[in-house]
Amino acid sequence: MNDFVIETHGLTKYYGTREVVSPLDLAVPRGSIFGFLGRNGAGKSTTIRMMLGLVEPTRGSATVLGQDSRSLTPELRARVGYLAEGHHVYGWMTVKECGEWQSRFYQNWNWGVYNGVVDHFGLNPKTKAKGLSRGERAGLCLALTLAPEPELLILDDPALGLDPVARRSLLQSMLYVTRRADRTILFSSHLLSDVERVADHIAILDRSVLRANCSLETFQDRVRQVSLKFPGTPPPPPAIPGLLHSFRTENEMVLTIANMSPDTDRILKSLNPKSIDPMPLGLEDAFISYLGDRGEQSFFIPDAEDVA
Amino acid sequence: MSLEIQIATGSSTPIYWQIVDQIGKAVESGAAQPGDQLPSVRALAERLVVNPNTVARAYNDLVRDGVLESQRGKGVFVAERRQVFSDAERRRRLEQAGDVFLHDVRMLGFTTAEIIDYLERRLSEAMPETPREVTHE
Amino acid sequence: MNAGNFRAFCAMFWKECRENAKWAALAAVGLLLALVVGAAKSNQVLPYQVKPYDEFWNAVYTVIGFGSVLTALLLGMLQILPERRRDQWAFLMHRPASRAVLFWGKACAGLALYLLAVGCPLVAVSIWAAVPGNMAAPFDPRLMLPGVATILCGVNIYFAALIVALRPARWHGSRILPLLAGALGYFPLGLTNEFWWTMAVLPFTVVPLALAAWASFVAESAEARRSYAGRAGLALTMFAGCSVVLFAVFAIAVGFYSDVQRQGSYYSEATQDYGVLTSGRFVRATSFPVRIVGGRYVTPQQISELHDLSGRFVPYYPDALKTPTSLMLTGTQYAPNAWNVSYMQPQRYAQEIVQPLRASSPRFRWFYIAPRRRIVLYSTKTRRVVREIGPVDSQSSDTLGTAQFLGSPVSLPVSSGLTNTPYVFSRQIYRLNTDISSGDFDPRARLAWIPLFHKPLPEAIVSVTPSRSFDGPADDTQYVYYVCTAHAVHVVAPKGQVLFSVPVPDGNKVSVVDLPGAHGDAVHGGNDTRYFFWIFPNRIATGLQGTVTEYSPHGKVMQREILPSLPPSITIAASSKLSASVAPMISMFLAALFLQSAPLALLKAGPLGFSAIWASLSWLVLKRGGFQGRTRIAGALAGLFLGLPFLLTILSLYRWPSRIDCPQCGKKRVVIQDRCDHCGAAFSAPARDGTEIYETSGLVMTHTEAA
Repeated sequence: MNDFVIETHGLTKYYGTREVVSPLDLAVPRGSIFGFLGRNGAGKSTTIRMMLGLVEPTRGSATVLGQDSRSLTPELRARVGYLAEGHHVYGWMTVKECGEWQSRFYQNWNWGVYNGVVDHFGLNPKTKAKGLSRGERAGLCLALTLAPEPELLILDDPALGLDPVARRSLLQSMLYVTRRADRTILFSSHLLSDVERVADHIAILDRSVLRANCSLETFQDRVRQVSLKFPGTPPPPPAIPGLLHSFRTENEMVLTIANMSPDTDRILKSLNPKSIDPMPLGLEDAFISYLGDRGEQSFFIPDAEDVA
Repeated sequence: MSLEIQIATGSSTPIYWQIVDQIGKAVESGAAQPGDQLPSVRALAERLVVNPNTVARAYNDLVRDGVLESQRGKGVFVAERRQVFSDAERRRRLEQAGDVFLHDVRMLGFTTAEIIDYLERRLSEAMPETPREVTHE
Repeated sequence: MNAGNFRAFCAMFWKECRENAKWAALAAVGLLLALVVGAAKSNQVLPYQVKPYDEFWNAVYTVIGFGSVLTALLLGMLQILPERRRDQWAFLMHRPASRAVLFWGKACAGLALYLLAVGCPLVAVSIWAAVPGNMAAPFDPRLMLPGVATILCGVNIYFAALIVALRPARWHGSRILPLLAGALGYFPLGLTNEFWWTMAVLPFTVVPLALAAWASFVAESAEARRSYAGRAGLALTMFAGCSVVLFAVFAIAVGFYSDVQRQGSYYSEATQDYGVLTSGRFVRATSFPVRIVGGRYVTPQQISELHDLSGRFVPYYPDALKTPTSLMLTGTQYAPNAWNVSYMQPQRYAQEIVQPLRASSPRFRWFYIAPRRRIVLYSTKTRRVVREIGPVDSQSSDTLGTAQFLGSPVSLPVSSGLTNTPYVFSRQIYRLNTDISSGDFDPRARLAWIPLFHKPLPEAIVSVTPSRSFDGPADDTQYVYYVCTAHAVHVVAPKGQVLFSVPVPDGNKVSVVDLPGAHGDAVHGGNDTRYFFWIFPNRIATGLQGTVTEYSPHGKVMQREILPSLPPSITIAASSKLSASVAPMISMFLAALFLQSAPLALLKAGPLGFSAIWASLSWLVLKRGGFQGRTRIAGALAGLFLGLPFLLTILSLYRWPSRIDCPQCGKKRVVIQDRCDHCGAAFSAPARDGTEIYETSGLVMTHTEAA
């Protein structure tokens, strides 16, 4: 049995002459909860659509559960749950009808799971789907996706627009799915706190390029922030491999660095600072400095009075 | 046994450390007595709404450090009280706590003597049975 | 189809029906209203009256025709477009059923709704018309066939609408091309006279469109994922659409070209015709119907010049010139041809024969009922049958007819109803003994249709042309009927005796002039009427010669002349040249088939050159699209034979991959190929800057064992 449920090889997508997904090599290990991160328009949804054979890749290929994603068979699709962005359901169906309709397509349909999730989100089976709130609709969609007990669950920004309570229900449902070790979830999200709670692996797309693909822990471990104190004005930030972000004040320089190594230490020491102190860095800050604009940022904005 | 664990996301402490710390503190403070059973990995993960791998890893570390003990087929229990950390680990933890303390205290403007006095007073309150000379080593 | 697929199909079918039933109902109600409005007419005397038979049914067919197009478009679009939003479409596509099942679930539901939406109003109207007392006209269930055929042809439009909605296209023009192809699907209606034949032709348009729609559904833009059948269907659809566009452009261009040609000359294209002077002299008349100055039509003048056959100028006396009347020799020369009326026309089942000219309200309506071969009267008051009449058996008996008319109707007078007006059937000609032109008659009158010939003709009659309109006594010696059969024209006296017959070779056209006896000249003597027959080979632009022959009333040939053919019109030359450049091979082939010698000379110059241009352009376009060698060669060959329509087809068929500058050699390269066409370089991996965090091994989790 393959250890990876999704593998992509040089998966690339162009819209016109714009490269929205640069050659992407990604492997999603079986049994993981895989967070797929990136800013809006980074290419996450397009990648997911290519994986599911809903969008034609310009170059490269992807396999899902060992099958080429361009020719997924119905049997294989039954093993992959996909919750599309926007949580679409047919508004004229009732919650119960939605389930009945969806169940027609699946050989294995677990009404227990369906009703469980519907109850968990507090839905009345007789309500028409168009009368549901955003969070309720997400719950209904989730129920539709989970009831066939998919081996691989792909959630495209499931938490978008959900209130904290619905979000918590969503996370619980996701954990419920992975009660069996061979179940895998790939989800894209902007909500770092959700990612921090449930993801064990993350991949980060930055402007169409895959910048990180590692365990969450490794990511937190590798992105570091150090504060360098200087007696006077700090020198301009040095050329350090992996420098993400620097910030200077009158006598302090704060550097955010990926992949710190003994070399990095050496370069920092060569600046002759008064002190070098590691600074704590939360996941969100690490993520922002990882994806934000590179280079120096400072708030030395010339004062209006000085100019005048 | 009631095990109060609060997970704070967005902090600079990884969730894994938060679990280890809080179980460790509960055992230290006596809120969890030796022999008490801890919730299973899955149960705790679902209660805290975190990845089970994270809980499993925290338990594994705590078992390795001797805070907890795992009985195959029965579950995880609070271990009998004994020296739980290796010397190196104890050193590392002291360094870590010191880092945080110094970082916070530095800009408060106390003299070194004042800080040492304060520390001695607090230590004698918190750990009356600990021989004084140990802290002076 | 296994059980799982069937369940999925049913689920799709149910969902689509449930979602689109409201639109189908709306269409049905709209159509029914349109039918009510279309079938009624109003005048000052009687507002809101039901239209008479022909108009009524033609209105019904027209409304059904437009209604079916609109309904098919509406349903086809509404089944796809609202669902086409990204996430909603993904929700539909990502389900464990083959896309064929999803597509046919959708399409079958759409078709069922479409058929119901347009079929129900048709049935309702037909039932209303069938109930006695509603319409003063006969009803035949086959009157529904034109509606049924129109509705079935609308299936083309439905699939075309699906394609338009499904298929992403580079420019909006190419997106609506399938609709034009769908419009071509209505051609079987006019193509044949028989319903079953239309039904036999229909699959040839429906199947490619259905395949194309299916292919568009299966893979929106990914050509490689379509089946060969789907690709062929889509290619055929686009080819048909492009051809329609080209044909329209072509027709406009030919008209424009002819105008440009004419601008050089002072006059518009002169029409030439042969005629005869009352003196019996043969002449050629040149008419300049329209004068053109600077490309604009100005004073429409009728100036004619006369020359005799040796080219000498003849002084022109308007009264002296007689131009011939064309006789109808082939069944398809004019429409509607009553000999073989298409099933699309209500006249096939019943023909209204006496329609009063003025908007009066006659008491009766007269119908010839084809299946019964008898004439039926309807009262306009009770709207029920009053009387059924047949012809009398022979010329002598003058009683109310009980027999049936012989053969099939060839031409029945629509608005005359006068005595002597011929009621032409394929084997016999009948005349009415009473004037019923007002639509009214005295019920006690001895109404009878009397046969003209003692014995039915052995040959089928194609047409009958009276020498002039006439309502006089039957023994007028100067009045004749020209009775045309397929191979001869019989000159028949009003009493039924055949004076003489003029044989006509197959495929020739005939026109005739008769000079009454008063014009008899001294040379030939006597006061007998003289008959002149022009016979020309009926082929476009052939060099064959015609003849003109003068006959005496006894069939004696008085004189005969050989005539040179008239010049071919400019328009044909223009269209030949244009078609030779647009689709050279096809037009050469067609020219060889139909035009024979002359236009081939026109075609010699350009076609091969144009073929080469279209072939090489096709090759270049396929190269630009990143296609491999074999495909390019096949495309070039197709371009060679199919010309410009093929080039347009491949341009509109594919979504051409965009091109970017090659980082290696700087030339443009397509993004879909791994290697550059020019320098062979691969695409480089994204640049790294040392901040990447990759971790490849040790990812397998075992969290359940940890507990």
